[in-house]
Amino acid sequence: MTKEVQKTNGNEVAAESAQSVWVIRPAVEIQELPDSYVVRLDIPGADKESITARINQATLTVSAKVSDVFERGASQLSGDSRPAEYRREFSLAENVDTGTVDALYDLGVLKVTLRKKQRFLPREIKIG
Amino acid sequence: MLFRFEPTLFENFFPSTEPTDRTIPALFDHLTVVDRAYQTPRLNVVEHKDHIQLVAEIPGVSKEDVKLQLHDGVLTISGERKAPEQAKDSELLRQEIRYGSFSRTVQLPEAVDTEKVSAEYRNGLLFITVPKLEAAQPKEITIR
Repeated sequence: MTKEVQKTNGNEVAAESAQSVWVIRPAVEIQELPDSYVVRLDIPGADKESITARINQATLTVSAKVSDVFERGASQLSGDSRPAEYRREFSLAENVDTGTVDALYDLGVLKVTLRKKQRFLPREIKIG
Repeated sequence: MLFRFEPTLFENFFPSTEPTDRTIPALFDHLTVVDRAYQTPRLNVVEHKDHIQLVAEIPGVSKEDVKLQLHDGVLTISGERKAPEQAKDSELLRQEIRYGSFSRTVQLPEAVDTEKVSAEYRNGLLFITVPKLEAAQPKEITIR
């Protein structure tokens, strides 16, 4: 779970020239618990409906769109007003149960919980 | 001549870009250097015909933990991002998110109605609307 897929070379990369979307790599916090991993991503302003957390083979891709933060008809004073998209990929360890991904979006933070496979969980063996 | 008004409005947002004889921006420049323990949220400022919109990024902060103060034309966004409860037996594998206090101060232009400033918190973003005074709005003058 700890490894991150390095596909982009910068922190905030302007990609996809066809559409000029501003791709932002969100800040992340990863916690390992005995039975799961908790991944938190800062995605302020993301539209809830656009958030996806997808596992393909051993890669977790999280993406979300930010639309219309600014009202229309403005003359820009600072910052970047292009439509933005958050995206970050993680390669998953063997012990991650890719069948169950749980995601919760609150206050601009996405919390993704990945459970570990049963056979990797610590267990107690009864001595008979 | 009419449009000369607007650049003047802009300048106050960026006190460091040009030397000014105003003491308040200078004072805050100094404070910014001292208070490095604070995080400064990212802020976008957009001007509209009749108002100025400020959008600050403060994800993970509850509305109750944000303070917005306006004093003498100086707007301060401050608060605290509390760390989520950490479960026992958990180990941090990666930490890019910072918790703790944050603060950002903006000098508002003079030609705004400070009595009517409003704010809304949505999805980790704080939207602040500052209406311009009538006198600062672009007007069309009829030629007789």
